Amino acid sequence: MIPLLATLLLALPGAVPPPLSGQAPLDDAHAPSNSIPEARASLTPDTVLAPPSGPRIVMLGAEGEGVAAMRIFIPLTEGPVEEGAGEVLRDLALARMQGLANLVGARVSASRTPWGLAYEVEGAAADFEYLAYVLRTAVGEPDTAAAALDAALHHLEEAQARARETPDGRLAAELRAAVAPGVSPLEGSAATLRGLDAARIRQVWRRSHQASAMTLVVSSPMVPEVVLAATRGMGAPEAAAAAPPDAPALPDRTRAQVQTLRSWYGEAYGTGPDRDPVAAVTALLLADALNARSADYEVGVELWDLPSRSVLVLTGAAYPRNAERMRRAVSGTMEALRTRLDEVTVRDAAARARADILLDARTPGGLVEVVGRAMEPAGAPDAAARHLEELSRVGLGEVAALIDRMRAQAPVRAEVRP
Amino acid sequence: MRRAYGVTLLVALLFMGMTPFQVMSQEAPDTAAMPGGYRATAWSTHPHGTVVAMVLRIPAGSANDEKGSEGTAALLAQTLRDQARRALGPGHGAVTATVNRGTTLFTFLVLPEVWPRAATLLDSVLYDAPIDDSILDRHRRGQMARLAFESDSPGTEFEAEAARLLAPSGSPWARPVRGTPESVSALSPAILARFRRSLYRRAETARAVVGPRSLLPTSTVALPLPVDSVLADTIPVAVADSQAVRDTVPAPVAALPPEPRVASDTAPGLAWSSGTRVDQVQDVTSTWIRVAYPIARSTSRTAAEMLVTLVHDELDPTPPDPDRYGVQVRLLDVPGGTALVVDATVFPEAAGRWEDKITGTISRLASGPMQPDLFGWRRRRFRTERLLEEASPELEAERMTGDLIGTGRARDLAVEIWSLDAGTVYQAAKELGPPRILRFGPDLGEAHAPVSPDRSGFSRAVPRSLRGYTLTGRTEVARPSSGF
Repeated sequence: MIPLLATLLLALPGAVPPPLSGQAPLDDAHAPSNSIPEARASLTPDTVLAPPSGPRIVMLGAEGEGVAAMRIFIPLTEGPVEEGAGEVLRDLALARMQGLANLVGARVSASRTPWGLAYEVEGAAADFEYLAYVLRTAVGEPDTAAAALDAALHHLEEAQARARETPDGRLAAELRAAVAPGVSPLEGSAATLRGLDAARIRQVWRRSHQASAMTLVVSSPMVPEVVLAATRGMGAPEAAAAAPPDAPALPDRTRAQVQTLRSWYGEAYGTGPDRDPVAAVTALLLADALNARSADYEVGVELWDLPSRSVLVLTGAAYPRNAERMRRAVSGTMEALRTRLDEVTVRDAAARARADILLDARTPGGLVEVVGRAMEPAGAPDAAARHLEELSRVGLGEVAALIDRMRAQAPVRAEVRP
Repeated sequence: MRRAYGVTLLVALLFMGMTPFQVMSQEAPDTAAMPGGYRATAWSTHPHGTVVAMVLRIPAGSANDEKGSEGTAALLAQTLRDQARRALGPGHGAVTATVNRGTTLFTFLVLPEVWPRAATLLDSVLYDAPIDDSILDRHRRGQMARLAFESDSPGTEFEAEAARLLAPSGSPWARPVRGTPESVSALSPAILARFRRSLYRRAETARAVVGPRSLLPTSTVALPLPVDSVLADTIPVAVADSQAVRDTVPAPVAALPPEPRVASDTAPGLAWSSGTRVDQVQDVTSTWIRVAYPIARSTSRTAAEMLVTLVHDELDPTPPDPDRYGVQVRLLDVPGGTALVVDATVFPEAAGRWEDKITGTISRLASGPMQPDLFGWRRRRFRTERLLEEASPELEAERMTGDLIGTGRARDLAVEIWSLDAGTVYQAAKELGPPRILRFGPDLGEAHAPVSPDRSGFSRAVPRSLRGYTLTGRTEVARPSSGF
């Protein structure tokens, strides 16, 4: 399943309301939009450590804070026959983490992203060593005993079935296959699922989960020495770097029938490199515009961040009597937005995109998530802070140019009918 | 935790010959622009905080609605919330409003670059700006449509019945929070303006601000004060807004209308002293159960909160009971005090067992202190869960305003949780008053009636006629107090 870094729900506010009578609404006149030192500082790591045996440690000091949060990222590239192995490793690790975290009331999560695997734990700073132990367990050798592995494979099979048999899953899969043909679905396919036995899962773990490849983002009051000591010797034994096997996977011949009462329609546009701030602002504007046009049907705008590229996806779902209107709305939104684009609208959308990031990062767990995710593609510790700053510089010219580029290219289209 | 850390740091710096002023004046923000005049303000910092959370707690809610104008507090808060959003503008933060029976909460999440200007603006919207007729009208129409849609729904009936269970007969506290279609249709800008004029008063409002350290007002700790004063101010207890330090004893909670009280229904230190059991027959597919215990006034808020967690963990473990749809345990401020309230939605066939399970859990916790090791482990979990919850700055600020209204000072939660012991929590459970119980669901006959005696001392295997099962409505059976 392609992860969606930005799913823009169309409950977003539409046009900017007029100023309140008798009140001067806040504007950025006194705070230039590219001058946000506090916001930038809050996403900028205080310390970056790179011990030779790993993991690389990015620290967001939190003196006096009662909560500690840690997120460890492991880059993972699957060979064709391994597709879906990352999802299985994620599932197995999450089960181990949950059991341990429940004992002390900590929170855990695990995610598979296009760049790898991430495990996160958040709890009392006083329990820091225990939280580190939970993470150590997460990145440790997976329990591939039959019961645990069967459960993980069953979850994977369900995810694959959702992508094949639900209309939105099928629409996304078809759009992804057409707009990013080299990018495989993270959940793999029914053909690769059969080959994911205990030996293959352990092999993928050994190759990927070496501490020297990991990046740990920490928000805690602990001094670096404590963090270093708590994380030493994590993961699989160090070995020479190995490439994933390139043996081709068997073709997937699974046939599935999608049951739907509504017509689903989608268009996808390549927008440029991943984490492009202009694409993020444009996605928000398109969501506003599409929402304004929708009536008796459901619409959505998504921004997919994939390795080296981002893809903007517009979708709609309507019962047969409204299907044609829905298709016209999805297809015509780009044009409609372009004709009424102005500087104020773009600036407001950029401010909202920036605010969303800062709101997401307001807890220690949210902070390590925002900083850690931004680091995944290139590993730059200040990637989140830079992204925030870049968002504040997005203007009318950049958005107009991107929309013009997208209008000039024929979008990839997909449709699922009842 | 973070406050204690701050104290340690300051003490260390003082010993090193540095004054707090030298430390804290770095990046000292301009806080003179912050609006003042509030009853009290509490501050707290998050080292890598990305937004400033400000919560204003106004001690007036739906219980203050005039008779015939039910829904005023809710409609006013919705209208002012939207006016505040509009004034804040896009991309500067978020505004929410929550109206309860006794309080109204406004929560602002504001980006650093517009703080503290945003605080001034939002303050003026809430207290001074004209009420916008068009926003009010939009919300009134929406509210009327929702209420009309929900009228006669089992959920609405349960909500009304559950509120009546906790308040003296005829108390305005039990009025519907959002009003009725009729009352809301009659609400005019003048009624809302009158409500705001009389009850939205800064001098009664508690305010809490949680944000990045560089944006907090340092004036209260910037002066080279004697060590004791520095420590006292560094711990973010209530900071009075007036120049003179105010008495920490809170002013009386504002302007609840006088409540008709039944003399025998109150006791010193408890919201009620007599148990009640209500069975209401409804043709629905699940049974809703409310069990509420009054909490002794002598019980500390932190001990009561831990008791809530213990009860919840017992009732809703992982994996959950297959007969339950949902379980919620919480503290609720009710007329005359605070109550521990359990709301459970269960399969009708399991209703009797669940009622026993709820009362049995309380009875067990009140039967003796937990083993120290077990208590230590549960306290550790409780502490972590609370810290994680309050890692959201708006939730920490919300809790602090509750503290300010309740006791005049914001608790240092980490310290208070560590100071809890098994005896304190046992005492809190032991001093709970008699339960008030509401069962709302289909009539399945005696086979599913609860059978075990409860803590109020009367057997609940009562005859059908006394248990209030009727096909047409509600029968209330008052129980004598057990005196425990």
